[in-house]
Amino acid sequence: MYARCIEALTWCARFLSLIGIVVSGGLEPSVAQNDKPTDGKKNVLILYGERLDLPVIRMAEQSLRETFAASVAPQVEWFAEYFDFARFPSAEHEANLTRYLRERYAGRKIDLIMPVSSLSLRFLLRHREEIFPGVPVVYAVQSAAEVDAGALPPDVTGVAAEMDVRGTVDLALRLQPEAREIVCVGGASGADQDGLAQVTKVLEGYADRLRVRVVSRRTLAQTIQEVRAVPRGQIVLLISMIRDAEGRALSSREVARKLSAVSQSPIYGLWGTLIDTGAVGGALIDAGAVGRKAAEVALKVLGGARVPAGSPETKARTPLVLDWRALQHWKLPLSRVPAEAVVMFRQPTLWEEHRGLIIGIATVLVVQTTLIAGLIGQRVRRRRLEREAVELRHELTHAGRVTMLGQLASSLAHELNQPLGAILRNAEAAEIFLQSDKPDLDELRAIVADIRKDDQRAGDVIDRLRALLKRRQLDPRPLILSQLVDEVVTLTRADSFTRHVGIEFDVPRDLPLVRGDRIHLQQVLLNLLLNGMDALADVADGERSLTVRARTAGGGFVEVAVSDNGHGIPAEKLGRLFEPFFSTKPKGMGLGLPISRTIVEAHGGRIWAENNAERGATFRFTLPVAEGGVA
Amino acid sequence: MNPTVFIVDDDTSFLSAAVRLLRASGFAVRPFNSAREFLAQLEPETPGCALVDLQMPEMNGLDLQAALTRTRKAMPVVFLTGHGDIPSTVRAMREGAEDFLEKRAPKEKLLQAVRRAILRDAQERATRTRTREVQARFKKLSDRERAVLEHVLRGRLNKQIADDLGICERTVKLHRTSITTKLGVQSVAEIARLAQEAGTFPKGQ
Repeated sequence: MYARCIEALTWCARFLSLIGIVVSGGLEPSVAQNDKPTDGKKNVLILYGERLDLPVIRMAEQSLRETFAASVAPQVEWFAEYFDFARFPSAEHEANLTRYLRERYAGRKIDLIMPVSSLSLRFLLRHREEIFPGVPVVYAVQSAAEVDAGALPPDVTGVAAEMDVRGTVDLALRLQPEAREIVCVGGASGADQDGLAQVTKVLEGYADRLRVRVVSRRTLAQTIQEVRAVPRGQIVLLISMIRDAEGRALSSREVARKLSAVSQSPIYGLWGTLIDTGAVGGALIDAGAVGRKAAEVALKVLGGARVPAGSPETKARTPLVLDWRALQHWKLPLSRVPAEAVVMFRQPTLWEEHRGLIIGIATVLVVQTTLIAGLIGQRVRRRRLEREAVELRHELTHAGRVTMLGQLASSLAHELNQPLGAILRNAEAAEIFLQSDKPDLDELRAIVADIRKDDQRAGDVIDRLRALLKRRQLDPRPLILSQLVDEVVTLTRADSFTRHVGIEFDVPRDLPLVRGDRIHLQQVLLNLLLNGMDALADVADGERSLTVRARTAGGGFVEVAVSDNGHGIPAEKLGRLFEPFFSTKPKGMGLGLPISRTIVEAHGGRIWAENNAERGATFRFTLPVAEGGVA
Repeated sequence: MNPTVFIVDDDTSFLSAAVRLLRASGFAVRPFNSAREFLAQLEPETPGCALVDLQMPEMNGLDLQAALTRTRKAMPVVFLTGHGDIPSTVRAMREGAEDFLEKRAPKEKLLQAVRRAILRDAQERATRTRTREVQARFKKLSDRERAVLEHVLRGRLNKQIADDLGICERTVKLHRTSITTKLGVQSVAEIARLAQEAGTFPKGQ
């Protein structure tokens, strides 16, 4: 997923740059500047005193090239020579090189010479008059100590980086205010010793805060050993190590890497090459900045300006550069890092590095998340609605039951008064017995037993009532249908009596058991019976009849039918009977049948109504037979 | 013969409790589980009253009362109901129910109602006996005597009766003497009271 995004974004980037090429190509002729000399074009010869593979030289070369390429006036064409003066120092070579250069550039007008490195500068100063008489010189050297600016001819100027010992030590102390010792590591070469001498001179100014220890003129192995032994929390300053005591040529970069790997205290340095070796950093001489500055000076000189050596324009900055990973490694708090310092390799710079990518991915994620959240929200809402619907259905069936109980008030009073009346009569009889001198204890025992029995009966009625009144979920169990019908008909007896409706029932005892919730099904039957009685209100007294029948319906169902011989249902209303709030009765709420339908359908059955052939209507519903449900 | 309370209720539990209470209160009691059973076993000469559950399957209390009236086995009926509703109450009272009580009515009310019903039964039985006796006296009259009596009760004079019936005045006087002898009374006023007691003035066959 991630990889694919990168791919897509890379593709986008390519596409955009392609557009850029097409656009710029359309505006300018695509001819390389160097192919076509123009007036005012200046030729610059760059003399590198070192091998190109040295990082310092490479960085200087790159910034020179970039600066010159960017220059429009004057336009610069440059030539470069790479002399490995460090490894080929003999005078013989110098003579050959002099001849070589003179012959090589005989046919060209060289407007400016740029020696890069002090060895190169010294060579040029010795032989300039032979090879390029009168050609101005702008040098780029890594250490001001290597150039005696005051002794230079007036047409020789340039940029020399100065080791910023103070800047580095201040930075180290800022990061490690508790440090008490600074260990200065140097090599055995002359340049190494020069640098070391400069550093220790500066460090005299810190005598009150730091003890100075010098580790130099050792073999590399010894140096590593000694640095390893430096206690935690001190400052290790790597100055330079071009050669060790055995005369082995080294690069400071390599040394820095090795020391960083073993040191318990942070390694600081003075050179830009220290970056990405594991060292913390310092006020670093940036070879790139030196090169850039030198190129700028060169351009000014080519333009006719005079830039004296040592003037502020020739000073290269030594920026504070820190390696975030090294800060982490030595647990140096970021809060102590000065604001002006550049912190490199910050790991969570994912944002800075891949801003576009991150935004892209984040956008995709946000869209996706929103989508998912939306879908989840929808789902949650649907769930809630479903739950609410179920709840509402329960409320309604409950309300339906409560309403029906109201209609059944006389039945219920009768049901309760029967056992309560019996209890009262028995109690009264007992009182009378107890008034006699020799109470009939057998009779009293029988009375108490009867009272107990009738109390149980009354309790059962109340339980049934409570079950009907209780809000409850569907609890399907195997039921004997005839029992269910008995219970309901008993419940309606007082009402059917009052309304002079004879209820007949024809429910065979050997019907299979049905699966259902007793209370809910009682509600359905009650509703149908009460509706039936309502339908019989206009029928002449003595003719009112209501019948409950049950039969096996096939397909694993039992069918229950409630028939009346009333006025029937108008054909146009037959289809709408089970719609909520539709009622054929003047005071009907129109909820009884919809609730009944909900209940029956929740059982997996069906409910419907039809008019009888002769008179009245029949309501039928089916219920599933319980598994293995043979009565 | 001792007055008997006939209790009719399909609810055996209430039936036995009521039987217990009334027996303990000194009544002769006969329980019945259904209206049909009661009607089948009822002896008209047994005095007492019926305590009947209004709501019973098949034949309910009101049907029972109607049957009693129909079969001239009149007996005061006290209805009991689990829960009285107005239409049933009205109908029961209209058809001469002695009382209408809820099943949970206090003992005093129940016993009072039963005693009142028994008393009324006794009174009605006495009235019925007297009426039957008076009617028997009237039955002894001949057709001619009945015709004369009718005129006498209308307040007509002997002469007018003789004219109306086409007989002589003397014969009318003889009939009147025979009537007072047969009815065992002396005056016309007494005759009129008897005739009222006999209920409908018996017409000649």
